[in-house]
Amino acid sequence: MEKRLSTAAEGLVFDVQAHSVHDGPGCRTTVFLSGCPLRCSWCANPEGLVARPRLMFRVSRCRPDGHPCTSACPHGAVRVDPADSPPPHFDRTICATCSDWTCVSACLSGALEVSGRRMSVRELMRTLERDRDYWGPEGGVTFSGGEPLYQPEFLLAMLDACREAYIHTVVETSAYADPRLVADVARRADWLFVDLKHMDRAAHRRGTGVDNEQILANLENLACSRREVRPVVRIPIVPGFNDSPENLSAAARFLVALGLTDVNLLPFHRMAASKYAQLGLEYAHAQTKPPSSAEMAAHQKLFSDAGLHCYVAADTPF
Amino acid sequence: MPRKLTDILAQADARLEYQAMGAPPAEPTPREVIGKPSPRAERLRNLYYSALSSASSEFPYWYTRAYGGLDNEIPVVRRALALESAFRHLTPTIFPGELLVVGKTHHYRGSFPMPWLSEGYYMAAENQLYQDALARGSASADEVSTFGTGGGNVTKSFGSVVSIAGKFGIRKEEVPAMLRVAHAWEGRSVDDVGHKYEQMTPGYEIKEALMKSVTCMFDSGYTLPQGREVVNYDYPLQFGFDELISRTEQKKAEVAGRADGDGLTGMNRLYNYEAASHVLRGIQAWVENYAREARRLEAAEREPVQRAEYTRIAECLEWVAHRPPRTFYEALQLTWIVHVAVLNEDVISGLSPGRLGQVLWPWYEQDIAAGRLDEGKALELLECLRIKYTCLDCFASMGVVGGVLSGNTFNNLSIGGLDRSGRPANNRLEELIIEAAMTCASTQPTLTLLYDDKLPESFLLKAAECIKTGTGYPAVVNNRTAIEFLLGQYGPEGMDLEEARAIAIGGCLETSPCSWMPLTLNGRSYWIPGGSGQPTSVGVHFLSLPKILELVLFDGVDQRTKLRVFPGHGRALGSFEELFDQVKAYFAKAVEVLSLANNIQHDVWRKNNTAVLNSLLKPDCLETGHLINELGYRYNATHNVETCGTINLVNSLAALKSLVYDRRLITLAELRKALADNFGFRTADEVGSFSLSSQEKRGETTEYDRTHVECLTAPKYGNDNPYVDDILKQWEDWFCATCRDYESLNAQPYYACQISVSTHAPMGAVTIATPDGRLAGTTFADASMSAYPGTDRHGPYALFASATCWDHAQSQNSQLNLKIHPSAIQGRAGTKKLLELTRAYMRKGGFHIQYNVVDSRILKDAQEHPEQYRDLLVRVAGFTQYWVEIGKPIQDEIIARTEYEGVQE
Repeated sequence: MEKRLSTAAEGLVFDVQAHSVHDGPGCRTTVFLSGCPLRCSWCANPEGLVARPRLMFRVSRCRPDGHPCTSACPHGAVRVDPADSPPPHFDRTICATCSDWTCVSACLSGALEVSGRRMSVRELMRTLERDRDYWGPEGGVTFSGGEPLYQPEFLLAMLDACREAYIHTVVETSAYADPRLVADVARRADWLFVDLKHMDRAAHRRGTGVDNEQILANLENLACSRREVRPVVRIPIVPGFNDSPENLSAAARFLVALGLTDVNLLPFHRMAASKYAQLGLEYAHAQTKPPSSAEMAAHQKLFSDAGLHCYVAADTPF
Repeated sequence: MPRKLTDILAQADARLEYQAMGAPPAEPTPREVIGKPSPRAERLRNLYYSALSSASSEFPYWYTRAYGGLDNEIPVVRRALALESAFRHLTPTIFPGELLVVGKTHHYRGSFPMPWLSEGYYMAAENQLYQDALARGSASADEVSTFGTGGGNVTKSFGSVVSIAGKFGIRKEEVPAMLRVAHAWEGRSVDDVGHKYEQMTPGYEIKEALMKSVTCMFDSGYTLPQGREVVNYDYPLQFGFDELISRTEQKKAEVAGRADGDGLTGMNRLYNYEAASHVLRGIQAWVENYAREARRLEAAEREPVQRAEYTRIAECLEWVAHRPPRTFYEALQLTWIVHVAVLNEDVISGLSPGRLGQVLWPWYEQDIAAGRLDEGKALELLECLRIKYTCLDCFASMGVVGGVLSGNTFNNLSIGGLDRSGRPANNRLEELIIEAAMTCASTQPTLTLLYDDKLPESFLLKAAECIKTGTGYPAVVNNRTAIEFLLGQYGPEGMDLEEARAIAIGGCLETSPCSWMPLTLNGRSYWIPGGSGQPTSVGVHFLSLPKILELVLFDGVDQRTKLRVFPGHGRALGSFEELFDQVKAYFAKAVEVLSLANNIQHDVWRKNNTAVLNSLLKPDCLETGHLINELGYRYNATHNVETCGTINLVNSLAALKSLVYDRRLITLAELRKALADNFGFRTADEVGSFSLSSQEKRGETTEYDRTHVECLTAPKYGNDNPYVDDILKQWEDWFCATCRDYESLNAQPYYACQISVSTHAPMGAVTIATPDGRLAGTTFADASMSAYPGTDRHGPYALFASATCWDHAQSQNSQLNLKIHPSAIQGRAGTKKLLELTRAYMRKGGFHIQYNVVDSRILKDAQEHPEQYRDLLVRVAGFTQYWVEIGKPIQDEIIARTEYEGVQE
C-alpha cells in the first residue's frame, strides 16, 4: 500500500486546457506541468522546459508608451536602449530569479505575461470535479508537460486523488526517469503515453540532450509488467532527425519485440515558433518543413507492415 | 497609421485573440464534406444559387381588388373572400426537373408584400409614406439594418429591375401597380389602424421613443404577426380538402342562428365556418391550377422521362386537391402545399413543419413495406423538399427581414424527442431527413434535435455527423427542459405530460406547444404530432438590454439621438444595488408600455386580418368554430418578451460593480465620460468593421487607456466566475418572473424569450460604448448564453458552468452558439467527442447549443472573395444562412467568436 500523499501538495502548472480531444480517450482536461530533463530542439511547449514561472514577452503588442515596465522592475532587468527605438530588452538571467513580476502588471498593452503558477492538489481537483461533468464516460484528465514525472510528489498525489474520485488518468511522459518512479506512476495511472524519440543513443543525445538507455529500459519494464496499463508509444516525426527508414524500422522492431501493439506518430509542426520568440529563445526549427501527408502515410505503412496498430496525429480510435 | 485596439488594449494573452485552447493547424482546415445531392437536386439547387429574390404583385392585387368590393361584409368572411380570390388567381409555374411543386409566387424564389398589414416600409425612401413611418419609429430599425449584398439579394436596382424593401427585385412595369395597391391601404392597414389606437395607451410617448432609439426593435403585430409556431398538417392528411370543406358545411348547418350559451361569440361560429370554407375552396382551386399547368407541360413535352414526371405531378395534384394522400409522395406534396398556403395567408417567418418525419411516418412505413418506395427515392424527394423550402422568402421591412432575420425564413424541422407514451420517437425517415440535410446542404428547413437521454446512440451520432458538415444544423435542444417549460406555461390551459411530449421548435428556437392527433391509414392507427398553439414569439420584441443600461447611466436620454426615452430617474446610483434596481425599473417600464401597444396592434390584427386557414388546421378550431381571434386554439398563453444583449448587460454590470463600487478605481462620472467619448476610439462605421478587435483609436490620446483596460479585464461571463455569474442568475430569475406580471391580449401572462436572432448587430450599431469595454457601434454578443467574443478564456467547460448557473426551464429558451474548429472534431472519434460535449451541456440543464464548425480563416477569405463562396453556409443565432446573404456586422461577429480548438500536440 502506497503512503497517502497530502492534498496540500503543490505543483507548478503552466496550463490547464479543457475539452482536450487529442490526448487520450474521450474528451479530457489536460494539465501541463512545468520542468523537463530533456531539451528536445523541436519542443512544442518551451515555456514548460524549466520548473519555474517564465516571462513571456510579445514584441508585436509592445507600444511606445514610455515603457512603464522599465521603471516598474525593481531588479533593473528591463531597459530600453535610447539609441535604439523600442522594444525594451529583458535580462533573462535576472528574470529567471524573479518572483514579483511588477513589469507585467505595469504593462498596459498586454505584451507581458507570466507562464506557470503554483496550484495545490485541492485547487486542481476543484477544476477537474467541475470539468468531469462534461467529459463523457471515456474522458478524464491527462498530465502532460514539460515532463510530468519531473514533479513526482505532485503527480503522484494527483493520481491518487483522481483514483479516489474515479477520474480516469493519462500520463504522457518521456520515460526519462527513475525506473521506480515510472513503475509507481504506471501503477496509479489508467493509461500511459511514452515518447520514443530515437533508437540510436548518440542521435538521441544530439536531439534531446540525454541518452536513451533509461527510456528504452523503462519501456521494456512497462511492456513486461503484468499490469493492465500497457503504454501507447508516441513518436514525433521530426524531419532530418528521426524520420529515416532505418531508425523507424529499428523502432518498429523494438516495439514488436516488446510485445507492444499501439504506436501514434505525431508529425512535427511549427506552431511553437512564436512561443520561442516570447521567451527570448532561439528556435532551431524555423526552417524545418512539417512532413507531408504522403510521407506520414509511408511511415505509417512501415509500422503497420511490422504488425503494429499505427495511428497518425489525431486520427486515433481513442 | 491609426492604432488598432488589438495593438493598444489587450491586457492579457488571448484577450482579443479568438482562439481558445491551442492554435489551429497551419493550413485552413476545410469542413468534413459528406455526400453530394442527387443530380436532380443539384440542378435545382444550382438554379436556386443563380435565382434572385423576386417580388410579385399578383397576390396583393387580387386580394385588394376583392376586399375593396365587399364593404360591410362580416370582417372574417370579407377577408376569406379576398384570400380565396388571391389564391385562385396565382399563376402556377412548374420548373423542369421538379418532383415537388407549388411556390409562394410564380417566381422560383421570392415573395410578395401584404400592404393590408403595413404598407409604408417598402415604398422608396423619398416617398411620403416612408417618411411617415420613420417619424413614428416603425422604420427606425430599417435605417440601421443591412442585408448581405451577395447571393440572391437584390439590394440595388439594375436594368429593368427595381430593388424594394432592401432585398427583392421587382420588374419596373409592375411597380406602379404595386404602389397603387399599397396606397389603397393607406390609413387602413393593421399598422395604421393599430397606430391610431396604440397612441391612446398611457406612456405611449415612451413607446415611441423606445422604437426611435432602437431600444426596441420591432412591433410584431403588423410586421410578422404569425410564425414561430408549428403547423398542424393532420386534418388535410387525414380528411383531404373535399372532406374538410364538407365538414365546415355541416358545421355551418349545426351552428347557424345558434348562440349555444355563448352570447358574445356563439353566433360568430357560422361566419368563421363560412370563411374557412371559402379559403379552402381558394386553395383547392390553386392546387388544381397547378395540376392543369402540369397537364399543359405534359402535352407539350417530347422527352419521355420528363413527360412521365409531369404526368405523375398532375396525377398527384389532381388527387390531393380533393382527397387524403395514399402514398408517401402524395403526403409529402400535400404537407408542402399546406405549408405554402399558410405562409401565403399572412406575413410569417418561422412557420415550422415540426416533427415532419413523424408526421409522414405512416405513409413511409407502409410504402416501404409494400415495396412502393425505396430509401433512395425517399432521399431524393427529401432533397427536393429542401430546395423548395430554401426558395421561400419573407417579405417584411428591411429592419425585420435584414436586421432581425438576416433574410432567413426559419422553417424548423424537429427530430427525435419522445412519443406520446414516453418512448423514443425517432424513426428511419428522420435519419433520411438528416441524410438529405447532409447530401443537399441548404438553409431550409433547419433541423433541431430534441435531445433526450432515451434516444438511441446511433441516432444521436448520426445527428452529430450532420453537425460536423458545418451547416450548423441540427441545433440541439434539451427535450426535458422544454417539457418542463411547457408544463409550467400551458399547464393552466390544460396541458398534461403526455401532450407536452409532442413539443417541437417553432421558428429559430421557440419552444412551441403541440398536440397528438389521431390518424388512420389503411386501417392502422397512429398518433401524429402537430402544432396547437398561437404564434409563440409575438409581443415585446426585441428589447436591447445594453441600451437600457445606457439609459440608466444617462438618466433616461439616448446618447445616439439625444432623445429622452424615459423620464429622468434622478438617482445618484451610489450603490450597485441601486444601479441594478434602476435597470430593472426601466426594463419593467419598457415592458409595460410596449405590451400595451403590442396588445392593441395584435388585437387590430386579429380583428381585421385574422388567420383563417392556420386556425382551421390547429386543434380545436374546427370542432368549436372559434378561430385564433376568439381563442379557438388549444393554447393561447403564447406572447413573450424577447431580449437581446444579455451578456453585454451582465458583463457591464460586473464591470461597474468591480470598478466603481467594490474597488472604487473610478467614479461613475468618469466612467460615463469615457463611455460617451468611446474610450477615445473612432466609431465602428468610420472604421468599417463591427468587431471589437478591428476598432481604431482617434488620434494619439491615451486618456482612457487605463480605464479601458480595467473595463476589458473586469470579470466576464463564461469563465465559471461567481462574481459575474451571480449577476446573471439574479438577472435571469428576476427577468423570467417579471415577464409574468404583464398580461397579453389573450388575458395570459407574458413569458421570457431569449434569442438574439440577428438583432445583436443593429442594436449594437446604435449603442454607445458599454462598461464591459465593448466599443460604440460594435455588435453585441450573439444569442443569450454565448460569451462575448474572446472573453471566455477557460474553455467550453467553464463556459458551460457559467451558462447553467440558472434554471433554463424558467424561460421559453436560452441560446448558446459555439464555434469549433474542424480539426477539433475530426474523424469518427471526433464525432463521438462532439456528442459527449453536447450531452454534457444537456445533462447540466443547458437548453440549447449549436455549433459553427468552421475555420475563421475561411470566413475571412469568404468576406474578401464572396464570389467564390456562394454555397458557404454558417450558423448565425438559431438559423443557418448563406454567408453571402448576411450583412457585414453579423459576418464580423461570426469571425470574431471564440473558436474552440482541440488541444494540439
